[in-house]
Amino acid sequence: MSEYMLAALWTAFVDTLVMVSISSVIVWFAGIGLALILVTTTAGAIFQALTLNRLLGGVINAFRAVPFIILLVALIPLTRFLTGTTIGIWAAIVPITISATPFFARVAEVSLREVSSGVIEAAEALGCERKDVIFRVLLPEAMPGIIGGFTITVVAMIGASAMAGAIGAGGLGDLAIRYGYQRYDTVVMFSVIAILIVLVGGIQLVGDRIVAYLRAR
Amino acid sequence: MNQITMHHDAQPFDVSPVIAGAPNSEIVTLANLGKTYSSSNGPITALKNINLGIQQSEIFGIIGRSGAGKSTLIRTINRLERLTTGTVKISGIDIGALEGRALVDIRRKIGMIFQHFNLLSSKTVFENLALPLRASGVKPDLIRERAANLLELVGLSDKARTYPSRLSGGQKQRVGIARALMLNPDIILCDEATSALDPESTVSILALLKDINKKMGITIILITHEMSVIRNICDRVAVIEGGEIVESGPVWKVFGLPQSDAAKALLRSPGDASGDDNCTPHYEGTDKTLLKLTYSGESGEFPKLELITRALQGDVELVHAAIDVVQGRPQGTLFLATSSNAVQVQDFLKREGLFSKAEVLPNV
Repeated sequence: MSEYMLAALWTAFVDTLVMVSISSVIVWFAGIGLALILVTTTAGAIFQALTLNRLLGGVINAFRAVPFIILLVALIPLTRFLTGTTIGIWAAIVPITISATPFFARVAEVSLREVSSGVIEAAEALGCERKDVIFRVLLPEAMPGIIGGFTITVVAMIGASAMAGAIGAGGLGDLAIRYGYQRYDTVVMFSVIAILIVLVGGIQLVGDRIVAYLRAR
Repeated sequence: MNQITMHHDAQPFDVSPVIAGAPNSEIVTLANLGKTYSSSNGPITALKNINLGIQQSEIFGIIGRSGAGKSTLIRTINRLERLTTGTVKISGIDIGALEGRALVDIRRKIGMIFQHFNLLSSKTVFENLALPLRASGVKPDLIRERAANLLELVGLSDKARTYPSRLSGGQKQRVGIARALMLNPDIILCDEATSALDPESTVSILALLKDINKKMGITIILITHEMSVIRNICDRVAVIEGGEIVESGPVWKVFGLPQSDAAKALLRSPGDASGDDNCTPHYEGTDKTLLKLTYSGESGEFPKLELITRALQGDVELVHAAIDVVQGRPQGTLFLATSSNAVQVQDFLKREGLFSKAEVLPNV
């Protein structure tokens, strides 16, 4: 492989890392936030608000129903409005985030819902206010499941970033399509695949380790 | 309204603990409580017309079968459960109207322990104890000091950094008790606190609760379906059935002289069941008379065997006996077989002071 190609691979790898990292941070907070709203506004929960719950659930479902490749195109006006451009990694972060957040919100919701109602009741009985119930009970108790779900989400985001490459987002996916697919450069194609396998394997390993540590206590 | 106030003076053999401070001040007053759930099959009545007054520093038990409404009832006291009708007053304050801050404040005066402990699995024992104090903004130094003291009280000083999953059931409940005490409450609610424990842990947890009640004067309100819990630590008991209180009073009285069917079923006196079934067949076809003597505890005296033998004027065989001491009052049943003739037996049945109740069993 030429030096030029190595440099291109390196740039693409860094682009992917930046895209996925920035998206991950946004998705972590936005997803947990939405999941908390879903869990705490449901019937009998601490901030019961059924209309809001149903509305939010509906919006999340709607976004999850749209395939990523379509979302990517449909969100172009929003992307342009937010970043001023429709190509490059910043332009990719918008659709990646918007697609991954509802997914992660649902995953985190499941973990939060599994916190036993008895533990929440105990906290209320001991004079915890609702914010304490959320930050001192719900989130710590659900954390292993949330982190497990977040690992899955990050891996899915790497896949999405490669797809975003198809519309000129940069990163490993972009490289693989331009050189591997359009120029029949098998070496680049397989290099990209190898890098992705290592990246995904590494992320999964770290996620599993954290979950195992939290669960072993 | 308060049908079960205990009159200390009226009882000759009262051994219930002497209450420090104000003896007859009511700390919890439940008036006309009603709770109705709506379900797909129409409304379900969980509680109906409940009136109870719980005295400062007593241990008050509520016993009932599962589904009788006892869990709902205890949850109304710290308003984990909202009422449909009636009022709950804690030290005279109607908690039905409290919201937000005021409700949190009153809950901090009411500790609660649970059947399944409800400890946070993601936190160490120390952090579990710290939770209620951190939520109320107490300084870390004070939290550490108080947690250390309470862990010592419950005998778990070496477990502060352990996670709950590494503790036995009895140890978890000790942590639950220590956590409930962290806020220095006036009342502790126990929701089936020993139902998930083995007999040995049950005994030690009950002893700990009794100790806390005696030393700190904390009022304890517990619900259970086990009569042994009531017998071991309660001063007074209420029997709940179908969402209503069917009977209440001092424990010895409700045990010794149960009035309602529910109380009779839940609080069978010792030996009652086995006696009837076991002894009758043995005397089948003999000319002996089978007698069942019941002791309900009003006299506070143990069965006087010599007087009984003399009164029967014939030989007496002891067939089956079980006497238990409840709040210092011997209670239970004696099954006797005697060769006395019909007249002697009739005379014996009319004797006073030898038993609470005597009956002749058919010896088929």
